Amino acid sequence: MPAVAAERVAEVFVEVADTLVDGFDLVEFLYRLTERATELSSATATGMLLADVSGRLNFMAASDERTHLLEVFQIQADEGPCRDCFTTGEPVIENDLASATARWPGFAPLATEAGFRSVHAFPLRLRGEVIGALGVFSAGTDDVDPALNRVMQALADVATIALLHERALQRAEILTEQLHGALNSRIVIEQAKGVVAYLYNVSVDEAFLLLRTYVRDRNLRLTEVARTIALNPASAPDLNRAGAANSTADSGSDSPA
Amino acid sequence: MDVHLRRLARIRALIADEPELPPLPGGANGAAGSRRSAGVGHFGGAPGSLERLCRAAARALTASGVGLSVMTGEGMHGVVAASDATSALVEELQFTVGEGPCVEAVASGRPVLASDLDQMVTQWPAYAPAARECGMRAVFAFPLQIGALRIGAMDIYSNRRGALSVAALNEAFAFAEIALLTVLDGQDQAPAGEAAAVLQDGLSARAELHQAQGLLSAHLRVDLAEAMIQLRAYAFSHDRPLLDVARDVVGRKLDLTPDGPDSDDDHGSANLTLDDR
Repeated sequence: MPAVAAERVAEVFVEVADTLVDGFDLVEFLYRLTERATELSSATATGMLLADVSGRLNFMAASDERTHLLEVFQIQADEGPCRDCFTTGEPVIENDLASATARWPGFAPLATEAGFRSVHAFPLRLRGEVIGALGVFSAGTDDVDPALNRVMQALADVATIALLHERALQRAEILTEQLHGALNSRIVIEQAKGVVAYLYNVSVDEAFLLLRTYVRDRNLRLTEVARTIALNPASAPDLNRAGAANSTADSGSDSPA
Repeated sequence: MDVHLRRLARIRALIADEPELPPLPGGANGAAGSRRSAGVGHFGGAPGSLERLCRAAARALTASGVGLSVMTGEGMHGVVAASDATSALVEELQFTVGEGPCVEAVASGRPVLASDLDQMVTQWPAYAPAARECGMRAVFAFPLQIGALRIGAMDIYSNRRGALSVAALNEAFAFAEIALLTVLDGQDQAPAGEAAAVLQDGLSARAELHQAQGLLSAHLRVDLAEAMIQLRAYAFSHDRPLLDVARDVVGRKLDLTPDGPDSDDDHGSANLTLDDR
């Protein structure tokens, strides 16, 4: 397992801290976090779930949201490593998902089918309070470098501080407000996927890639662009690199992972 | 999901059990004129069920009162319903001064949970003192929304400071969902005592439903509200689970194009054809 350059780790932490400042957008923050976690651990995909006031886990964001992977993340609200991690407050490791059907009869087959072989789930916790879980999935079976586990947990800890930070300073209700706002932002993104899928005559998965590439290239906010598109499909920006609408050609250098 | 659906069913029963009362004076409830002037096209007709919803919510949450308002993109508004005259007054207040929990909830797309109005004076310098004058000490606003579709908010008022309990919060979110569905399904137009024949379900949190909503909105060139109305109407009239219909729409197996020049403007009147492909 390749060691991650210390400089890159530092960069990621600074970046994460930076997003906490002005106009904090929770969904945006969580997307960024899952992408960075995947990158740092050379994993295949990372998903994040957060708990609401009734203790129910909600899927918030993932580094890869293709439809067949989405289910693997969503089912963990009820069963799976993230769920266990959330209830125990301890990291959960499974290096052979194919043989974990006794442990997670619903989740394990889904995860295996999706191509994952191992998972590391890290709790988002601070002083005994667990607010969610970060699940890092790999298609390979290499044992993860223990040093990497510490980095991942530190990343989860930074996220927890970020999420609880506002709450500590202001009203306790902030977390509920934030969470429900973020859940609604997710819906905006799904609506936008549908619009783009129609306009460009592509699958919703491809539509999401188009959207993500577009916002990343221009350093825009995914939730804002999604909202504009969902509200007014007729005035959607041109998301296609080639510049022509309804093109089904690959957008050149930016091929999906 | 089961727990949630059962909660919704229980709340619908509570609302149905609320007695009809004469409309409030001043036109807060039942003044179709004020809503027409607000330009909120979908939301005309008798508001009886929304008023009953407000009263049922006030009862269930042991709140001082509940108000419901709608807003369009242009910022036009109307107080659609309230549990009592004072709540109607405080609800209207937000539009008069242009600030308040409902205004903020709709603008931000988040619930606004102000458990102590005294702490909100900086944020709402006009609204907070005025609401206090009316006896309110806490206000909890829940946007009526599905993603980018945001039609208004439900406000819960209390004459005592203090946060809503977890149980009350869950109930409030469920009431808000039903308020939204009531408006979308046109149940606010149903005659008193008659539940309109529509889906008795909730707004699923499944991605496919909202993807279908977006796709349909772009395809039919209608707004998100109309797209959801069409999906639900189709599911109901063809007796199919909403999620299945949504999946077919996303998978391009279902083409919900309205029938030519004969289709009228009522909900669900579009002739929906099943594409064989």
